[in-house]
Amino acid sequence: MGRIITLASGKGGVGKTSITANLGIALVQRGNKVLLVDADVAMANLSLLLGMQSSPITLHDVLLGEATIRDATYDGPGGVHFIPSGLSLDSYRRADPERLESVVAQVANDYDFILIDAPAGIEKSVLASLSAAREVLIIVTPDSPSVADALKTKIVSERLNVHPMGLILNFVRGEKGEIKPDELMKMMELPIYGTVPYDDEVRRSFLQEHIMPLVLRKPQAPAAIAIQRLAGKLSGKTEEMVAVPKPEGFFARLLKSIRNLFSKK
Amino acid sequence: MGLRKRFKRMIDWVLDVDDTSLPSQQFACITDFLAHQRYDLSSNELSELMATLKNKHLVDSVLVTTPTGQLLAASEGDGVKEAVLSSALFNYVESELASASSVTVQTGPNWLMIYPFNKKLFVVKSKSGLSNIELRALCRELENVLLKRVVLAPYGNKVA
Repeated sequence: MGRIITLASGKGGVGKTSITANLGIALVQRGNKVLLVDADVAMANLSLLLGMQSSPITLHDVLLGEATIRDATYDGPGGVHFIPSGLSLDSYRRADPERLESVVAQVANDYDFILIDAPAGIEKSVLASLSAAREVLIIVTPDSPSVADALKTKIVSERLNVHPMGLILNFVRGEKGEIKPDELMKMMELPIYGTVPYDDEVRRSFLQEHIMPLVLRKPQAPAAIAIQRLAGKLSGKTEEMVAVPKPEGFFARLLKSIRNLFSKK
Repeated sequence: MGLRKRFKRMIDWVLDVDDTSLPSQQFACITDFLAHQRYDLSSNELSELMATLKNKHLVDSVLVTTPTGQLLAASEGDGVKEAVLSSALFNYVESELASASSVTVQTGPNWLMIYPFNKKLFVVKSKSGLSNIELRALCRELENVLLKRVVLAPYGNKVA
């Protein structure tokens, strides 16, 4: 049976969907069979990021009992399999998120990894996304509102008997005032599973005419490399945590320019 | 933007000055919140375990009964009467709606939820409605406690 992991955060806008899509593709590149599930039944975005917004059968239909999970599974970019959520408000209102657990269990043996992109918050659909998995990775940004919401997600996960594997620290700029990994681990009482630096290329991935996940579009971008390392760790290859480059100050930049000038000569 | 502000901005940029600091008050609040979320489930006393589970799942009381109304465990009082009434209520609803997955009754701010799980009925009282997902998680945990940590007394005998 494959690993069923929910990526949750509590707070919205911390990069859950982007990490889910890129991590899934990175896992496929390591030879795994991966299914991505867009469990954000109200605000489906994963399909937009994967460029698959016009899929005729969606998770809504499966949760309504009108289609099977295999009917709603599509081939996504980079070799991932993907179950999109519908964009219709009507089918969202009628869909029963509580069925997600039994629906995902039907294909658990077909994949090495099933990654579930959970909605933000701790509403019913979030509980359904969490209880459908056995493990949860909590995405957090290095600021106190995100940490407070992540803490609630951790507590809810424990209440639902879902194992919190650790934290993915996203959008790290290395600025002063950011919550440092050791402080975060102490507060959350969870290990840091991976660190993804802030990278403008992630935002640019959404701005292209043909939207494409970062690990495919710019595999050498710092965030893409960090996600690749995360995938390595998840799939069993132990890798060191990504070192987050600290932004250089004026004098450091000046010194570097002078050094470059002389090295060119 | 005033000249003074521009000048300060330039100085900050040149010297790489950053006046942000860690929000220590918010951290203290988060740490305090976390301290109230620790639950010790290592006790062998069923009544203690049920009280811990009650707090963990934010409910007022939990009672476990057989479908025929025989009490297995209760977090409050002896619960014999409640076990009989709850099982009768569930059986009545089930006879009308065969596929009922749970029975929920709301009276003002109080909620009564009856959830069938593993040939038992779990009766939960709370100040808010719990989804089936939450009820199932509570039942699973309580079932583990009943099966692993204590020896179940025969039906009809009080355990807690």
